[in-house]
Amino acid sequence: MRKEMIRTVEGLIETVEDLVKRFDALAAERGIAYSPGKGGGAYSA
Amino acid sequence: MPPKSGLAAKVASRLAASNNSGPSTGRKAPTKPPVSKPAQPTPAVHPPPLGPTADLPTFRDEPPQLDVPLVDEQAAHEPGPEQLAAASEQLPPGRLERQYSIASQKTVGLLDQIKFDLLDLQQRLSRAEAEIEAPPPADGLPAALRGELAKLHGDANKLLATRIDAILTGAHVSFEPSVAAAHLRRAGRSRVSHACHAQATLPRERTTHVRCGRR
Repeated sequence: MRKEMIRTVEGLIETVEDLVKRFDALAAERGIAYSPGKGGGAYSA
Repeated sequence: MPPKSGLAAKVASRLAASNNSGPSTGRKAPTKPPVSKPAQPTPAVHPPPLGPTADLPTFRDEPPQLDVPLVDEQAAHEPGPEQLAAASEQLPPGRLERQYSIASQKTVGLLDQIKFDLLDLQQRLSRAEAEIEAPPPADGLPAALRGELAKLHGDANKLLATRIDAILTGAHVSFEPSVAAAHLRRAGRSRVSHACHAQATLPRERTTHVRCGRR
């Protein structure tokens, strides 16, 4: 059960990383730059 | 022929008796070689039975015929599946159930809680995925979504590192005691480390004791 959970969480982390990449790619298409900062990132056109 | 004397008559009568009755312990008279005759089965001659085994059959000639059919007595006395089912129904309920130890119950509860948190993370992930795949609004990308994704990533890593990896399973305890000790030391417990320390010092004490004995 523990190993299964580890695999699930690792898959979930990979999915989140893919989503972040897609999000950043969309932002780059639209000319929006993401700048991570304190309390969360900010986008600037 | 002259009449024989008494001794000669006795010897002659003994010789005649030995020739008629078969082998004897005395000297044998020279006998003729056996003439070839058609072979006749000679009845087996068994020694007379001795003591309590007198009634037992001898198996030299042919195996005995058993009147009783061969039955595996052990199989005949073993209960069938119906009898086993009936016996299990007669037992008090819950008596043969295996139960977790207290530590295992805590671990199972922790695993259930982690499973619940994992389901929550998966729901958040599917929501974020649907939001990304939807057509983006005209005014730009939702900035909160990027923050939500970053938070999701951090939560998943935290769940993996601090909660799932901190669970001590039976595999750690029974097969890798050093790993279990490292886990518990990291968790702030010192019971296993004390036990390991005691085991490490035990051979040294034994050698010291032997040396003292030799002195």
